[in-house]
Amino acid sequence: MSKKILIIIPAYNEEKNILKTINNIKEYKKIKLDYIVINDGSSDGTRDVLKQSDINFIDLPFNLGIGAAVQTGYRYAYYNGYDIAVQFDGDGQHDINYIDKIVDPIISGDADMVIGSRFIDDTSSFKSTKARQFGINVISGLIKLCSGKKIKDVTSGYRAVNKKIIEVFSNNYPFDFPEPITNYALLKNNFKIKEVGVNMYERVGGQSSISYLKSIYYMFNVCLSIVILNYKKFGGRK
Amino acid sequence: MLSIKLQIFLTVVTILYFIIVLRAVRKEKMPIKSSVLWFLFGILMIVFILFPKVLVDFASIVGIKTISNLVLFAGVMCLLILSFDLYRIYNMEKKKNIALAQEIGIIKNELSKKK
Repeated sequence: MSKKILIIIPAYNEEKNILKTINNIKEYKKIKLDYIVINDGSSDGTRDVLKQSDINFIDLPFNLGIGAAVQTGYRYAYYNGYDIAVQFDGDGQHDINYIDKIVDPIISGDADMVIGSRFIDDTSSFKSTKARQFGINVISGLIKLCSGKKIKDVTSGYRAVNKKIIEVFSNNYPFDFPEPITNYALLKNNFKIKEVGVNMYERVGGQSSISYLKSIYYMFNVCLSIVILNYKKFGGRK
Repeated sequence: MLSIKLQIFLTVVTILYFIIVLRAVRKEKMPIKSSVLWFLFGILMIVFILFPKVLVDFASIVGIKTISNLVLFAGVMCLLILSFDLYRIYNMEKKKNIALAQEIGIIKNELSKKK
């Protein structure tokens, strides 16, 4: 039986990139994919672009931030009974051709979550800046220290989850720094996480949500959150 | 110790405070349940104005030298607790607000598919 797969694409002010991203997904034929775009209260023409091109999208009434926008996608996946949900950036950073690699371990039951990683077997030419790599390494080290398990690309936003995690995320998803925090929380709750090498591109247009100075702030905040998370619950719907 | 003049002035201020709280309750701008706290606060003020010795004794027990320091400290602590509580409530409401916005988005999406 084939699994129902949903791609969640958060978009905030992505009028220049979003169509290209979606066309790439539509042209991909190897496995059957549904997609949902979450327009997170964009102030540019993103909404009009989506509407004119007859794209399946959720139009949030105002800007909620990346975490809450992605969670909207998980809620949608939960309500519509999807088996697998894949997070996919709207800005063209992620490469759709690697989606089978990401989804396969979940279909076979080898993992509950699969992270598309820039730092595994040199698949990706783009590795991010030195400062950010340093931050990623620190967070990755702390997660290893606290959970005993190594995740190399802790901040990767290209990841797939199974039905159980869809349920958990639809109910409980952090609004700030969602990727590293959920990775750690899932490890702590004995979910199986696997990393596979994928290709990522440098951003085509727009601005990354994390600037240089912010990455230090980001690192400290995530580390603090991870420590605090040891004392916090993380579960599905009751 | 407080002079009679100051006692009268503070009493008037406290009575004004009571009137403000009462009006809020009557106009249903504040649930009766939470008004209890604000009334208690006012009653406490009256007690301290009429019997300032209570404060002086208490200050000496906890080792605070002057009564004004005690009052200031107590005031700051009250405000701190209050603002912490408000921040907690704000965050709870923000979460609900976000959940509502997400649901609205999903419902709009479903409606547009039915058209």
